[in-house]
Amino acid sequence: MHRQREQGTATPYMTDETRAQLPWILIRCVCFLLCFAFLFLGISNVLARKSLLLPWNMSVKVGGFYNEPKDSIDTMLFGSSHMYCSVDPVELQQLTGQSAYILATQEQPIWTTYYYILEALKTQKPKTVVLEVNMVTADQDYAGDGPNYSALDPIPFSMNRIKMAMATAPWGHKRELLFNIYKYHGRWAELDKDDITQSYKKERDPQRGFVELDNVSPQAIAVDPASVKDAAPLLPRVTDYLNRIIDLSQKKGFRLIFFKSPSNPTREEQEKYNAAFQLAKERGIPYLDCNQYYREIGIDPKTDFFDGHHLNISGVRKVTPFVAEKLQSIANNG
Amino acid sequence: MQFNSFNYLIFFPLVTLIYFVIPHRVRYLWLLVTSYYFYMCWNPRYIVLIAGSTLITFVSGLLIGGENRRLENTGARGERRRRACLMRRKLWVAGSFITNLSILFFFKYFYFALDNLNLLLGHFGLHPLSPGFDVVLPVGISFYTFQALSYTVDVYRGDVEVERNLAKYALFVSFFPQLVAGPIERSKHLISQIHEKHSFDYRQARDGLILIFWGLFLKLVIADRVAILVNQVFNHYDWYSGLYLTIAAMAFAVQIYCDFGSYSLMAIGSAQVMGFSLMDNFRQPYFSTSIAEFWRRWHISLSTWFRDYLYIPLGGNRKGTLRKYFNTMVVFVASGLWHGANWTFVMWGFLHGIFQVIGQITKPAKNRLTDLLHINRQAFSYKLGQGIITFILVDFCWIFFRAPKIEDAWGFIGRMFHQWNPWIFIDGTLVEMGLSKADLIVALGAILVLVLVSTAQYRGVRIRERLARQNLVFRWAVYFVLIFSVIVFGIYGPGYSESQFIYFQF
Repeated sequence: MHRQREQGTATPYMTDETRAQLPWILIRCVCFLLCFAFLFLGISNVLARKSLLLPWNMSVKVGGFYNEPKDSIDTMLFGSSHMYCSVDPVELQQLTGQSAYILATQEQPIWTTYYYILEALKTQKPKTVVLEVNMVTADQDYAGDGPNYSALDPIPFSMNRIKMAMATAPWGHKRELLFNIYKYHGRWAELDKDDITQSYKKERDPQRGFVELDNVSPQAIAVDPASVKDAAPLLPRVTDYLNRIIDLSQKKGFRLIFFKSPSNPTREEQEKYNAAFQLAKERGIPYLDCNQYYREIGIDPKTDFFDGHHLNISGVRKVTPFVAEKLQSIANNG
Repeated sequence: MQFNSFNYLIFFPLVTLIYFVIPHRVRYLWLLVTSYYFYMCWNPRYIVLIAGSTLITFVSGLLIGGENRRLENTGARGERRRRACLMRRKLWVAGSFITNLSILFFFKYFYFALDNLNLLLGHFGLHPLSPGFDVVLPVGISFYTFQALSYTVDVYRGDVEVERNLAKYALFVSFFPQLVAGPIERSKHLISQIHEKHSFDYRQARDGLILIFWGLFLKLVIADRVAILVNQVFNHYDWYSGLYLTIAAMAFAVQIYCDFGSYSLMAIGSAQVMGFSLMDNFRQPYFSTSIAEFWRRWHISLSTWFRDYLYIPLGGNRKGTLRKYFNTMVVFVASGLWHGANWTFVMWGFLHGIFQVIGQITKPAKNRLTDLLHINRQAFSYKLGQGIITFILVDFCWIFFRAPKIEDAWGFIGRMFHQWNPWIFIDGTLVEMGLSKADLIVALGAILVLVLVSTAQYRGVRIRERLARQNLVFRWAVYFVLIFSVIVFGIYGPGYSESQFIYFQF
């Protein structure tokens, strides 16, 4: 311990030895911290949960999105599970000639989707962005761990990821979502080959973000969506981020379309969708509510649903050509 | 805030950085403010109590010091004045002790006293009392109260100068590294350091940080991991029998050492970064060869406090053998009670006292016997044997410390001897105690590291010094292994369950 000096001389702020070596000490500290950051991110990536279970292999669908050639995608589709189970981007490209990709995760909140769009714009310059609006039905300002971590886990570390985590995680849990080693470090006991080699990071998803669901679950139509005329108020946070996405489309110059897949909504859900479409109308954004076109699309509730709200492959084969046609007519109308 | 929390990871560097940047003159004020903030993070209202204890002992110090001065200045003819001074000195000491111990008693032992009183009333068929209010135990009250009281006695004995700066004294009582869980510092040791001017020394800072992370390793990787097993078995001891319970008891010995010891290490490390030196609180206690030695190696700051402020005032060993045994029992029962408001802690203290008394009584006979049998008491094998026996006795006492009630402790011990089942080590049923096989392996591995480090320290190896002499790549490798062991294997965080995600697979 450095004791007080003789009276008359002021005690220095650091010991002589430390001052003499200060530049070298600082350099070492900086290098140490850089090594630490590098190791920390590397170990976090090994320990994080991977989503590799087909057909919901988000680690490839979202994580592998960055392997797509730069500026090669014309139509980007965003939203929740309603988006990734209802339209086939490969078929869309065959029908329209425009390449397409779905970047969506289960129950992804609208505020997270805003940052997903920003993320995609880092490597792509889409002409059209389709925003599936199921999650306007949110009634809480923050979603649970399941949707939040599913959305954030495949996104690599960057400034945008930091902002995404800050917006997505509730107060008191933001750093856990940003540094997911906090949640996943216990996985050390169940690591496997995929965790360590992370070979999936080099893959490109042949389904281009689409999740093919095969199960058939006959449904009864809850309510005729055409009969639902009212619009229920949206969560202020939802409205805020819808507006931000619209502003982004004007700033970046891409065509934005609000979209709703056929999903057999309840009255309350349809009222919320109506509110979103009302906002779109007010701000001059085209929209497509497939729930109003079951007959035109040819939706058969006995064969086309995977469960209460998601389409199966049979439904997708009907919806995709319909969407292709509508996208082209919107494009032609300017 | 806890040392093993993310908040401390931000609080501590910030406090330290500002500490070394501001002028020396105001540094103690900064530490005082941050220490009070640190305390208020636990419960803001109880700042009144620590401030109260601080004020009472500060004023008593001034008053006693005043009497001491008057004593010195009294001439040969001032016999009556001398007597008055001496009496007043004792009055201030008594006043300080009574008020502070009353506060401690109320907040810590109120419910314990009430429950026992009601038990007694029930015996006589009387209606039990109910308080009609809640008493919450303020964090660290046992520690800072004892620390403040030691100042009163030190001033009385003339061991330390009276502190006239209230802020500096308040910092002595509330210094955040050791406020919550010790070590209980002596005024002479700590107040003088508050008066000193500390220059930032890189090596001290580095060594302090290493100690903090070593403490985190003990706490998060070992203590919190074995706690899972200990809680599972102790809370359901009727599900287990035989060696399962023995393992759990040994695991608790590890848990409490790593838990408590880690806090002391993180306190000492934090203080070291800022240029303060706090006393060692643990010195490889489980290597002790007698219960008496155990108490020279376990919670050293508390046992020396009891020695200096209770055992010696009672007469120590200067008033005959019987009185020595009595004093020993009083000290250890008091020590037991200090640890918690429950008969189990009293029993724990009582057992430690009794074992020491028995040890002293039987020592001559033991020495004669070992001489007769040509057993070499200096041999390693003998010391190893003594060490094992001591550990068994200490661990036996720990069962009472951990059990919620004395009946549970006896129940636990009973079931421990109920069955002899060594096959549990082979048939794979060890995983039925709450920890998976992987966790058991990590726990054992980490404990092995602790044993190796402790052995080196026991033999006087100064590990951080040796480490500093090694080359950069090796040093950094050790740092990274330590840090990432804590991050990866530590028990913390919300945990991860695949079921959270399976539900969203559409």
